[in-house]
Amino acid sequence: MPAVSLYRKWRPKTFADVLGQDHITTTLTNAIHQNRIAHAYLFTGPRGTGKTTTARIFAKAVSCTADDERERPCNRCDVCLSVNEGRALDLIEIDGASNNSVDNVRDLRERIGYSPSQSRYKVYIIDEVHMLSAGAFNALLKTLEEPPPHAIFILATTEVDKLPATVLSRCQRFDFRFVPFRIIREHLAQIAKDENAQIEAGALDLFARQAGGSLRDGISLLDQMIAYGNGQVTLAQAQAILGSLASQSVSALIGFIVARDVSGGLNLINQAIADGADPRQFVREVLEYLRGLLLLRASPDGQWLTLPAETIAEMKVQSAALPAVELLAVIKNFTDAASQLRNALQPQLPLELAFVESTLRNGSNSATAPEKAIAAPPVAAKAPATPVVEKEAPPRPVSPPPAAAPAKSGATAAKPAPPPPPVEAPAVAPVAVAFGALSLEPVQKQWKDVLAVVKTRNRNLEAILKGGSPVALEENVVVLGFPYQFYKDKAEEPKSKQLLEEVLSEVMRKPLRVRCELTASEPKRAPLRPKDKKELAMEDPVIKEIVGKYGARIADVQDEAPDEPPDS
Amino acid sequence: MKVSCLQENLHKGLGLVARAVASRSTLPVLNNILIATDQGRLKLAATDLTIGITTWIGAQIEEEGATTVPSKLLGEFVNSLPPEKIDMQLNVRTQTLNLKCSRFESNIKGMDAQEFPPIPTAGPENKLKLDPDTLRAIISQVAFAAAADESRPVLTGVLAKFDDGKITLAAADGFRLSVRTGTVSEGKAGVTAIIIPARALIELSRMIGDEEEPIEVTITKNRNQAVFHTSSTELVTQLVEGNYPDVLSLVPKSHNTRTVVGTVDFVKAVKLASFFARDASNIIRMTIEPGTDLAPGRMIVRAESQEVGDQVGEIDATVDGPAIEVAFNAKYLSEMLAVVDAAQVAIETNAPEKPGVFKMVGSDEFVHVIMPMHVNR
Amino acid sequence: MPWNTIGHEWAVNLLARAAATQPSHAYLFTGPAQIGKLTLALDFARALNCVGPGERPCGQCRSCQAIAAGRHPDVSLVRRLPDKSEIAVKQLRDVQNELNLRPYEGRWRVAIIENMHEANLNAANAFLKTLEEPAPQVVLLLTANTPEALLLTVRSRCQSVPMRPLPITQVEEVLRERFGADSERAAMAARLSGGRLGWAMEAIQDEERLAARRELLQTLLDSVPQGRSAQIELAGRLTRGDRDVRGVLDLWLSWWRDLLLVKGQCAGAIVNLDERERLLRDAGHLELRAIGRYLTIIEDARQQIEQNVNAQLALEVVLINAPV
Repeated sequence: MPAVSLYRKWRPKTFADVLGQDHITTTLTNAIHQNRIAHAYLFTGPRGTGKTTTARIFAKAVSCTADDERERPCNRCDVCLSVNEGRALDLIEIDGASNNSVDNVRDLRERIGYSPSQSRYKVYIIDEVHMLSAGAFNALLKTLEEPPPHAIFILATTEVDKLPATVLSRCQRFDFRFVPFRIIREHLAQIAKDENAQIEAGALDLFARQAGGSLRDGISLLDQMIAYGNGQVTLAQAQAILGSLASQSVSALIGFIVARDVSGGLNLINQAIADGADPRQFVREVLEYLRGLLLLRASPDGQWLTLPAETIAEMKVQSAALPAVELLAVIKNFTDAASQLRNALQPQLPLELAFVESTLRNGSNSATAPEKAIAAPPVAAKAPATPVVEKEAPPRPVSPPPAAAPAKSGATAAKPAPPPPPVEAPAVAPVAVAFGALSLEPVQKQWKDVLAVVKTRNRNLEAILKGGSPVALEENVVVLGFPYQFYKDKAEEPKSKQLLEEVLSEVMRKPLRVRCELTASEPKRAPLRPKDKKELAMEDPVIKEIVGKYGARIADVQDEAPDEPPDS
Repeated sequence: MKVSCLQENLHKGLGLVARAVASRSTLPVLNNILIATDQGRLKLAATDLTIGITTWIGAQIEEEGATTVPSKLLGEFVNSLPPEKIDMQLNVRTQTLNLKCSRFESNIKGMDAQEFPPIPTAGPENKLKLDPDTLRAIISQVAFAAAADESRPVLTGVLAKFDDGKITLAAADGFRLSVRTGTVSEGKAGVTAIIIPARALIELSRMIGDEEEPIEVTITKNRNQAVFHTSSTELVTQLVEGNYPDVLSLVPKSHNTRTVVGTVDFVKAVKLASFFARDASNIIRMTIEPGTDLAPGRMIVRAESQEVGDQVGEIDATVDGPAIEVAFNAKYLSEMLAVVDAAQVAIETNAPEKPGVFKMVGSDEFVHVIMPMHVNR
Repeated sequence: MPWNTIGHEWAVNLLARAAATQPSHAYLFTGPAQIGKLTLALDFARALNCVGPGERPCGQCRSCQAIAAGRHPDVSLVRRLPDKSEIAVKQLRDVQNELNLRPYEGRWRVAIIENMHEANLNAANAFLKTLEEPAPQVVLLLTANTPEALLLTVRSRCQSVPMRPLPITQVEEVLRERFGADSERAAMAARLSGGRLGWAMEAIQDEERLAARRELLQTLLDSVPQGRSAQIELAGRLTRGDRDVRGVLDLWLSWWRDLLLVKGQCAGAIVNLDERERLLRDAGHLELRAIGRYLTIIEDARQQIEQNVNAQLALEVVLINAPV
């Protein structure tokens, strides 16, 4: 009994079976009917969308011996059967990645002159063609220009931008698209039925979403789940294995962001991970949810969302509480987290950081005035506050945020203005300085962006520049202060300096030069923010002891009416 | 283990099995040769996990046992010993093999025989017997046409079909096909078809050497191996996994033109033309013209290269059918001619872009098909 | 003891069932280093080829023992050679050729590619065909630290077996019951392991490792108020010779993450249990934002190291920027 996965078992055998690529299969079918066959095709598109499969079907169709052209490929004649069984001599599948040298292509050119053994055409499918070396592409060009009449080339790749234009221009190009959610879901349901597997509707939704437009991914997932569940798959099982979250967790986390409840969110994250959630999956689902919020802004009826009505209702409340700028900042935080997860040692850290960062976002709208995390006017250190101390319990159960405060108060409720925003600019605050005099401040603000660009070109230089900062602007010269000679010397190396000047000018949209200086003093630290109540409370020795010794934590700090003197 | 044997026997045995020693392997024990007592004889064995060779030599056995020692060292050492009696004794604790011969003595460090992968042997399954000359002939006429590159793994193997007292070997690389049928002397295979690595057949052919007794062939029960057994030696080969193309259906059933030429003339003409074909994609053109009342039929064999020049050879031919011109690869022609064992060769053609069929006149056991080359005119 | 894998019950169930019925042709085991990916892959390889009666793998039969000893003809393990920086194309090609033959003695030919993410782009691409359609009696087992580290085209050809950290309590239990560790050490090692049993088992058997860790943490903490020249000197010291700066950064990262958790009132999840008091104390006078930002700096440095940025430079940047 051979090991055969469902995606191989369900590999389409006719053009009609290829799903979600009608624009391609129609054209190819017509080409077969009208017998207008080109000699070079290029199939591009994401993985698992049917490139190789379609190429094989096409290879059958061009050589199929069925009398009626409209029946080709018939899957009955010798040619079709030999392709289906993987034993056709005239279908040559070349793995571009392992045969990527000039010599490989020369071999191919030498052999292409031979007539086909049993079919009308010899079809060469070159998979992963983007892996060919530059020399190999050149060698291939000649063959693509003048192939013998019996040869057809199908180049397949996921990365079309790596192909030289000269190759592109000689091929008829077909762009495979991600397969739509609905089609994947229907197909998975069909396979499940044929395999006699009982799968909960919610689980099918999850698999289809998880497939991200790739049928192969979706079928693989289904295959695994059927194997695991022994033919029965529930949503809970599927979520457990995928490390997916109970759907209300994501919504709850966004609630904590809206409410700026750091503790609630961190506990939720850690509890979810302890329960087996996968940090990557977590971030993915948060992003998908945030995207939903974004879409809701664009079309409030939620027509683009494939979600239950109650979820959409909840999202609308959150969407109202989170202004667009803030939403974008949050999305950026989690997008960054997604990319950092790749190498993170502690996989949930980027997630936690993105969350914390999001709760610290700059509020630009009074609607988000949080009364929870950020204390308004600094409370004098000695002002007696009554902390509510609770014994540290196991992380709190996953539940929606306790305070849907912003929602209740509504956008129009006149709340006192939030505390002055912290000094840093929000992450998404592009300052375009097109012309006119430049001051130091925008340079400092954009310095992070400058570093980000430098990083893409020279990582070492970025690391060096992190040791310094812009301290002054003289005409068009940015003065960089470095506390140590070593950094200054490194930054002043002509190559480094030139690169920095280029990037700086690009980012600031103004020609700028750079001068490096040694700063005597340490660079300024960020000015202290007003401390929050809990921090202040922690300075109280009694509270500190309770917290320290008994593992308690401060849940909330409530002001005693300070304007009433105790003994008046 | 304590045994003695003659240097010549041990030397010969080691030479046979050394062919199967892995050149480099992730399993260090595969660089070794297994030496074991086996029913009054000394068994020598080696395997690279694709091919395994076992041979038995006569020996005096005082104490049973087994070990493995490095093939290269043991082989070179034994080769250099005088042709006298060799005494071997194993120190089991240290796995050191002590060898004494004449006035030389050595200790070779080995590895526990337990680590050596068991070499599959022929069970009581169906056996068939083949005449050694037949086996040698069919291997030599087929194995060379198997594919050298691994992109289509099954094509690196040779298809062996068993059918009604016949064995048919076939190999194809997508550009040519060689088929040879032979008669089974005795027995049945129990399977219809297997794919044998071409390399294993070439080793087998070498191993048979001047063997005169029939060769016993067994396919193991799980169909994973084929075992070839001669009087004193056994070769086991893993079989290739997969579907072999239905190559026998590729042999055209009919032809328009049948041309018969003398083998010696043909070989000569191809050889001369091939010097010029080298620089011209190895293309040799064959123009076949039927005879008239006045002149006999002829075949013109030519090659031309823009840089080097050209060459034309003409040979007499008996042509039955219309004239035709067809181009073939020089290498394929000469490799095919090298294994032809007949005075005359028949060439059957249909059209310039259709395969050419080559047969030995007087025998229908050998069929060779070569795909023509596409030539811009 | 049939399966050597501890925990990961769902994965064991899945694979046991697959071995008993019909395995898929390719599996991808992912999870952080030392979580047990290779152990599970080898377990599965044994289950696939076990010839013992009853539950498979039996651990007793010749096949199970040969696989455990790394000398089963049908089970090959491909990993980066110690003196190389990546898995070579040739290594993968050799194993591909072996896979074309029928099994030598087992039911399945199994190829384990350990840390597939160490295969370079060419090697990974060259493996795609085999990964999609290997010969019928072949099962391929890949391991990688994260799925993201592999090509999408590789991932989508495999059944994925994501291995998540074990619950800390389970690690603790194993350390106590199988290694006789006392509760305190077991709790500590389990926390530090982050649920990676392999790491925890090594740590518990190596007295010095935990002590060295504590000492290093102390050194790093001491450097914070000491100012730049001391920090730069320390960075030099910690990166001298072939010391692995990654370990230093990982430790530092765990400390600052704990601070973040304490500050964010999620102290139940901290890792450095033995320094709890100090964490609570330090968190008191740090800002959440500053901690978050600093964590990003450490993470960046960690990633720069992977991209071969000068280790000393990266560590200097980290130490100098520590919020006081």
